[in-house]
Amino acid sequence: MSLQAQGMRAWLLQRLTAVYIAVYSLSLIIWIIINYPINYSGWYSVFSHPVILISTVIFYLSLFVHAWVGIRDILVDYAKPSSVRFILLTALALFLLVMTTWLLLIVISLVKV
Amino acid sequence: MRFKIYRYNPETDKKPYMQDFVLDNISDDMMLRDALLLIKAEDETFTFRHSCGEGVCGSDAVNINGTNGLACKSRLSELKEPIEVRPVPSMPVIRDLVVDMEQFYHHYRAIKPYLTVKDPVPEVEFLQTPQQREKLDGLYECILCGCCTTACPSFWWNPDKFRGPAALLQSYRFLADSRDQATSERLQELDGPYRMFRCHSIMNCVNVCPKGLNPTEAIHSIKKLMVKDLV
Repeated sequence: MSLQAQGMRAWLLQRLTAVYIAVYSLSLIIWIIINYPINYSGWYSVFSHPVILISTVIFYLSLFVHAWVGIRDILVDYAKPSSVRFILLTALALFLLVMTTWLLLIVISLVKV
Repeated sequence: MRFKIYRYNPETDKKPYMQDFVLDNISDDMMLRDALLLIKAEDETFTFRHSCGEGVCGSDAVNINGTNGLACKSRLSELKEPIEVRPVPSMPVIRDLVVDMEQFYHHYRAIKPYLTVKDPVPEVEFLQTPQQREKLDGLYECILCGCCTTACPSFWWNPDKFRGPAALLQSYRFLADSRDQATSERLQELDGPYRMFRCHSIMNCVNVCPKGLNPTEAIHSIKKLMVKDLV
């Protein structure tokens, strides 16, 4: 996946990430309903389990890709002057990079302990 | 019956304006086109395109009470008064209800709306099974009136780059044709961020099509072909 993904590839990524986000969110909601109430140690043990951890990381990465494609689509439609579009796209990319870094930090802290 | 008609003559008017007309002799079976003809008889400077009068030629696409449609297929008794008639949105107005359709035809030409055959052409005729022919139903009926494309917000934002629902429906008409052999060229031409992928399935095109066609579905079918081509 590159930031260059345009047209067909972007559309396909949008669809695939949407499916994954939907499946993950639904399973998470169902899990919360079944196990309600959940305390900190319960949360912690489930989310440091490798399978859950990896699927959560995939979820967030999908969300970032989905957001990049979707918001870029909106900007291409509505932000006409190329300078404005460039600034907004850069801001979006920076925001998503910061979120990815944060995600990685959390993952590292979970793996270490 | 009361009418509000968009008027603009670039030679004499600085700005477009809405002119009121009242017609008395309206019968139940009259279409909007008949009323426009009566208005033209009253005021001969009024200009609009029309030809066949039965929804086949696609000349009289106008914006009726905010929705695109063919004047010849819009029954007056089903319209709310005052009936507001404007040129189709987003196109340059030449005069009154007449718009410049060049941009629309440019996109139509760009999708190469003709069969491309690479094999030697058969001596007598191309044969198609009834099943192959069936695939063209809902595609070949398009009369290129432009109701769909000029109702499409994606076309409003990017009229120079986005092909628009009419051209894309026509593109799929040739992609779906068993006789056409330019599938991958056609798909390649439509890839990229603008030409087809500005479509966000808003479905205004489906709402307004006077022939009841479904450009959004055709666009989706093109996307499916692209995925198949990719895999």
